[in-house]
Amino acid sequence: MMIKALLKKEFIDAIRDKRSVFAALLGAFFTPLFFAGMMIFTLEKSDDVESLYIEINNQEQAPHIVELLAQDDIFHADIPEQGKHFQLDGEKTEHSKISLTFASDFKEKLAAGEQAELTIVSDNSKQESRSQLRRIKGVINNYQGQLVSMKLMARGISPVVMQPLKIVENDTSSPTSKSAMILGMLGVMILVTLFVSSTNVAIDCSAGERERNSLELLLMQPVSTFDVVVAKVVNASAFSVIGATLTIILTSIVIPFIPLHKLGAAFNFDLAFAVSLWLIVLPLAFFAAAFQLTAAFHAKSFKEAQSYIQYTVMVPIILPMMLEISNYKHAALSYLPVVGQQQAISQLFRGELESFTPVLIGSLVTLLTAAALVKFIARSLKSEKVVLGL
Amino acid sequence: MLEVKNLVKHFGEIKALDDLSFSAEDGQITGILGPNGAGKTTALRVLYGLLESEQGVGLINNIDSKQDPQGARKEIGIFPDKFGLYERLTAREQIAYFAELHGLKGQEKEAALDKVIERLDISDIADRKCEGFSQGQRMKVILAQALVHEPQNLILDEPTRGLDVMSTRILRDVLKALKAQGKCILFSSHVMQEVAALCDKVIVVANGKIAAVGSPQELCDLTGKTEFEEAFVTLIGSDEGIAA
Repeated sequence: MMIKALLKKEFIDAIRDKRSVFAALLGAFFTPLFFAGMMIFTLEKSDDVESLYIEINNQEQAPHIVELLAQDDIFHADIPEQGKHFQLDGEKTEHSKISLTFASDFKEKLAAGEQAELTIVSDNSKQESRSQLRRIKGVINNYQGQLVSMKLMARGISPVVMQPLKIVENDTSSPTSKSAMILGMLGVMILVTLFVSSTNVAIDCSAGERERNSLELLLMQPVSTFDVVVAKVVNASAFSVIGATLTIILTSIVIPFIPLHKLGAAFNFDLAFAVSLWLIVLPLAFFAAAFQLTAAFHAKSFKEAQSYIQYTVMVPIILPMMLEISNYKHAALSYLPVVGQQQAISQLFRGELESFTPVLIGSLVTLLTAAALVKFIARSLKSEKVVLGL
Repeated sequence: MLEVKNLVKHFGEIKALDDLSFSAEDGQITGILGPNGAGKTTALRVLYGLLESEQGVGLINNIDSKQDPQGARKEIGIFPDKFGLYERLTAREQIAYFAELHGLKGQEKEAALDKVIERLDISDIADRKCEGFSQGQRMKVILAQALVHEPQNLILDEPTRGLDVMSTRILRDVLKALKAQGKCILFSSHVMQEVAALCDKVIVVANGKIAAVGSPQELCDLTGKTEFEEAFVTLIGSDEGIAA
């Protein structure tokens, strides 16, 4: 009953605060838009790499090879003069500056069964040059292999003689796991949204109320500090849940518009996926709210609380990053608040989330941590230091 | 009935309360008079259990506010020294919130709200948000908040500070009416006239200690002065921090 009255007031008070609502919406919209922008940028970049422009001299000597190169998106274009840019349909395009020259007797020698010569000129100090060169050589070697096979067959010998070994290559990177790397970032951003959405409410109902003298008046009423804190945490986490929910919905709307297949990535952001994601982050909302309220109540002023809260928002970015860099691994990590959720999300994105049991244990640990923080704040609200902001 | 016994409290090195004891009886208006920094607000905060004293007890209707702060606070209405209104709530929402915190609900709550809004004549601002209220309007909302659950005891901390004459008169009339109903009213002040005009009993506090207790007339007689202000200055031994 008391909690209901407390909660009702907290919610009305917060929902009428434009800054609080704005913070929640900002978090919600920022993630999908930023993500879409980043993805489209990355995809455009990878588009450019696909077509390779090289200068091919004496094309008439080896039309087959030129055709095979074209099939692999390697085209002829004259190397632009120093200081000028290569233009394709009036658009500035990257030229590899690699030239391929067939000897003037190439056709003749090939027909005669002699070694025909072709020259490749490239600047190998350039980083992309080596992979580009490998692409070109791959096409030529392929052609050479076919030529050899045909010649052997014409002489009644099986081409297998030339290939005593057969290498079977299996690329285990499924399309889903490829996109997971990029989508892992999306996971971190959803966690950040969760923290951002509750920031203003958390500061306003703690340090803010204290500065406006209403906290003291509230604590003089016949209410337990525990009930007061529970109401504030539940209200702040409601904002963070709203933010996270909106983000997930908006992301699921945005994702179909991103040409993920261009990256060789298939990704299905369907309802079941969205709901799983939502369930994983839900307990973290309570932790985020409790954590931020702890920081804000222990700040001396509204301003100090704001600077503390900025650091709390960094937690979901820094914590996983630190673990990544230090390469520290421990089974218990997946049960910790923030780290546990981050790991579960990245498993979900990779399609490797096989069991919900660790997620459930992680959620439980997160909720218990939040409860412990609530207890701690409730106790500190009995101290004059915190109540009066001394 | 409000009572504090032998309160001792330090803020760091400073002794805020030094073996302070006093009581306020039902059907009386009791004033705590003292210069700024005498320990008035601290004593009241200990009485309603917001601060803890190192020694001594605060009793509200004989309930120890340290042992059972919630039980003790149910028996009082508090008019704090700073008006901590929720700026984004309407006056009515604000008063309703405090009524709910005191356990009122449903029909009973609505009736209590209507009664207190009518009594303090604030129906015109009841559905407006508190931001932009004048000091007088704020005072009325805070008073309504303190009275909505009709407590036996009312504690006011420097209630007339910053109020204009009209607001002060309204407050005075309300206090007199409550006294007539047999309620116990305790207020702190550093304003001389106010205390002299309203109080049945004056507790003079200086440096966290009781300097004297009695009716305004008794205090004048005690010091041999005809003016209450003179009596007061004599009692605390200095005129520092007093508003005439």
